[in-house]
Amino acid sequence: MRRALDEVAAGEFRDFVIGSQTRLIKFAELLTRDLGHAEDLVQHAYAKVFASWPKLRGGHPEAYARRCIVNGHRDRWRRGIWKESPVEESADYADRATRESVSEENAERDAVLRALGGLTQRERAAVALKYFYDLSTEEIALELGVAAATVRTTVFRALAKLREDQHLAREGKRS
Amino acid sequence: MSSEYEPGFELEFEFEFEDEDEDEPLPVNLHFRDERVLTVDIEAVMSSGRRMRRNRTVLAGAVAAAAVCVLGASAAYLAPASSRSTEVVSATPSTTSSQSFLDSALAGTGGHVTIISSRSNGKTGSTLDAVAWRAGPQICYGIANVTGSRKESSYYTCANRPYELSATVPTVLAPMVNSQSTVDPGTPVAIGFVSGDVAKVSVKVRGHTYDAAVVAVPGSPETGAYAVWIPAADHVTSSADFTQITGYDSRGDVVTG
Repeated sequence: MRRALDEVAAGEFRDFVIGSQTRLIKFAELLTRDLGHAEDLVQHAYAKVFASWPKLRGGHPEAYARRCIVNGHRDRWRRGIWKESPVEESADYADRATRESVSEENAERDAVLRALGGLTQRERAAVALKYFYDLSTEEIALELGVAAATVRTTVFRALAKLREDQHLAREGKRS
Repeated sequence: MSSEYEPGFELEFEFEFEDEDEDEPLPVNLHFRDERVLTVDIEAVMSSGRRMRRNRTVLAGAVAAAAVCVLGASAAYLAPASSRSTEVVSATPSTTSSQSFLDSALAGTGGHVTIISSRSNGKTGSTLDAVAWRAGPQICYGIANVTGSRKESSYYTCANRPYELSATVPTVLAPMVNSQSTVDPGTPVAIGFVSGDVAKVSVKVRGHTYDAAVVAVPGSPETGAYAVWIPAADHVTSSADFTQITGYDSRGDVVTG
């Protein structure tokens, strides 16, 4: 009986993963600017979701997974496991973006990730939740564990920084 | 006066913005075209999740067990002195036999104390007895010194009979170390309890193995007690120092361990 219930829960969890994995990996990539780290974070977040699946199955497992990703990224950053330079342009992205053979799709992705590199970790999370997930300010505040006013401030600052981004301005003129 | 702030120190302002700021479009498109196939290994995720769940369960069990231990210890400490304690029994005439002294002094009227094992102390000329007896729902155990220069004294502890001893299968509980230095500074005794058909217990500490015979606890026929005298060199201070505890039945077969 219990085995049968476990099988049902596993089936539901599989459906949830299949339906949300692309979104969550892209969200994590926007946060980390690195697909490898993004996949690690998402994998770990899914494991946590599965560990609490009986409690989460009727609620919002994707929101829980997003919180795990944001917290996991922050902890990783705090512990210094993964150092990043948020304001310096990644040489990798710069090289790839200027390489002639790079596809248009990669160039667009690289431009977005490079632009997000100029933001702080919280700004990136707020922007991704607002503009990628279309969450309201209150929902973002709940997920990030901060006040709604802080979310507005954070998003405002992020927008200001992105507007001043020279690469984006250059690309805007080019297009 | 300079308006500059120290580098690295971020000033945090929070203020309300007009609604139109919230809906301002982002200069970059986060929904960029992406043909990559982004997937995770679901089976690996589920296996990792199961491991997490198991660890949580184990951790919760350990925390609950620790809480029970703390509550038990607190309850034992707060219990009335007559039922808890380590106490010195008043001296009796030296002509009193060991057993009669123990029965009258420890177990009370009609009670009977069993001497699990005895040990002579050459320096003081005294004999120490590891003893146990039943006192209502409790089991008492300790050491008694009824001869020699220190006169009669005993140190014992009483506690509710461990529920593990109610098991239908043979059970051996780890011995509890009694290191009352006023009785014998060098050699602590470890006294443990068993239930079921257990005739002998073998314990291992700091690489040394010690055997002890099991004797029945009076008034509690299903419960037996054993005592191990541990040399001072092994530095035993608690039950946790025993790395292996094996019980043997009357035929010499291992029944628990």
